[in-house]
This record gives sequence, structure tokens and C-alpha cells, in this order.
Amino acid sequence: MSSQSALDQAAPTEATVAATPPLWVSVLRMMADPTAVLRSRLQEVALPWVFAVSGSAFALFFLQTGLDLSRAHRASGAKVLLLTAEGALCGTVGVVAIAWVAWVICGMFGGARPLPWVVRAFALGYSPALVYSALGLVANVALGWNTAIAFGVTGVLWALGPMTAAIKLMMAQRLVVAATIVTLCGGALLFTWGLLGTGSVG
Amino acid sequence: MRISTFTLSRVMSFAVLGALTARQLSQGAPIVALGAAVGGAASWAPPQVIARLASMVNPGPVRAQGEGALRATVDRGFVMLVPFAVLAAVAQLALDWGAAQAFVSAALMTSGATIGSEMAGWGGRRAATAIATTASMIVLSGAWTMLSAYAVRWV
Repeated sequence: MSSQSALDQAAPTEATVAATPPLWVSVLRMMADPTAVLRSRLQEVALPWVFAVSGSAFALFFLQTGLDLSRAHRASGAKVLLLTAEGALCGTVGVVAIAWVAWVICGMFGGARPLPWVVRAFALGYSPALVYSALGLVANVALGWNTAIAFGVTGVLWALGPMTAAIKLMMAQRLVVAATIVTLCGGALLFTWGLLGTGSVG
Repeated sequence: MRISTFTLSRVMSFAVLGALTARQLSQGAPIVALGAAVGGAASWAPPQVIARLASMVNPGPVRAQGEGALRATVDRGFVMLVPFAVLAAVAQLALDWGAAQAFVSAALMTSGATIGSEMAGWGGRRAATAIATTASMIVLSGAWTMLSAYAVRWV
């Protein structure tokens, strides 16, 4: 085992000595330094909370898509609510599916992290998307801007950073493999949004 | 002159992002080709900026690792441009979303953060290095946005 891998394995045990940080601290740290959170604090965040982060991020993103469409008279109130629910589903079930795909591919290349760790890492990785979506919703409602692409897509793209950090840790820092898997996973999520949110796929 | 795969991937990614940014201004082939050329040429700047900043902010570990290791780490970090260039092309050409700027910003920031994270292992002023690499990419992303806005005037 390399010294880096040894550090990754040892860190969670050391971290259990420290007090569990509030979720918002983990969210902000995930934005600033995802590798540090993934190495030391990931197991401290309960599973429902990580799904709250990714589910809320996608729900707010899809809500803004609905509001943009509603402003163009292309969606009713019911359709906006349906889109929001689809977003929540995408941010929970969809993220688990993407994490599973990444876990399987990484496993084929020798990745050695358990599936629950990957799910936690991917879901909490949507911290930047949550912050961006929240800011976008404020701009959408208060200023009447169309924000789905400007804030929503940007937020989802920012989540590729933490996703890369997670895959790098799984793949013993093999950046090229991580970049390839991130392209597939990021593309799948953007296509899902295009299909469900805007109907612009197919 | 030997060009590494990492350098080639960086130049190609910038060229694609430049072409997509230009395509939002005009779908004429000369403008798109000019965008690709400007993007490809601009790919020279970010590694220079990051390498110089890292040397200034964290000189001891950078000197210990050597100039070659610094260049290699910076080159490797910019591999993270590739996913964003691919996704930006798919988004604009297949899904017709005009959001190249969002992809450029996210690509530069993620590359900067990746390089900062890789250099953190060298020790010294880790946080300052991470902040400097990411912040420099924020500035370059802003420069790209301003250049795009300026280009609108004469296209």
C-alpha cells in the first residue's frame, strides 16, 4: 500500500476523535477543499443529510427550470411542482445510480472504496450546486431572471470538481482515469436534466 | 519540439471552448475558426500564471521539487479541462444550450483546484497555494468573459 493510500485509510479513524461538524460546515468545506473532507470527515455525515444536500440542489435547479418555462408560458403551476419533484428524485435516486456506475467502473480499474463511501462522496459533492441553486432561486424570484442555465447548470458543473476528487481517491490519484469517468457521469446527469427538465434531448 | 499528450489536450480543450464561445456570437465558419485559434493560443497563459504564482507563494517546496515537477504537475492538472470541453460541445451541438461561458468558468476553476490539491502534497504553505491557484483561475475566467463580451461588439 502506498503512503498516500495509508494516509487515506488512517484519516477517518483519527477524525472520529474530533467533534462531528455541522452539515453547513461540511458543505462549505466541500466547496473549498473537497479532498480534505473526503479524506477525513465523510463518514461523520449521516446518509440522510448527504441526500438532503444533493436532493435539495437538484430540486432547486429543476424548480428554476420550471419557473423559467412558466415565465415563457410553457409550464403550468402543476408542471413546475412536478419538475421540482423530479429534481429531488434525480438528486437522490439519480445520484445513487451515477455513484454506482462510477463505483463499478472504478472497481474494474482497481478502485477499492466501498459503495456507501462513493454514494456519500458524490451526494455531498453537490454542495457547490446547492449553494449556486439557492442563489439562483433568489435571483429568479426577486429579479425575474431566467437562471436554470446560468446558476443551475453552472452549479452542477462545479460539482464535477468534488466528483473528480472522490474518483482520484478511489483510483490512487490516477487523474486521467478520473477525468474520463467524470466526463461520463457529468454527461449522464446533464442529459437527464435535458430529458426531464427541458425536453431538449431526443 | 516534442509536445506531450497533456499539453496537446490542454491546447485542444481551449480551442474547443474558444470555438464554442465564438459560435454563440456567430455561427459563421470564419468566426468559429478564429475562436478556436484564439482559444488555442490562449492556452499558453494559464500554466505560466499558475507556475509563477506557485513559485512565489510556496517557494521552498517548489524549489525542492524542481522546475520539471512543477511544470508536469501543472500540465497534468489541466487535463481537467477535457471533461468540460467535451460536455460543452455536447451541450451546445447536441442539446442546443448556449452556455459555453459556464463551462469555461467551471473548467478553469476545477483545473486550478486540482493543481492546488496536487501541490498540497508538497508541503509548505498548502492553503495559500490552493487559494492562489484557484483564485488565479477566477481572474482568467473573468478575463475570458470580458474578452467574449468585447468580441460581441465587432462580430
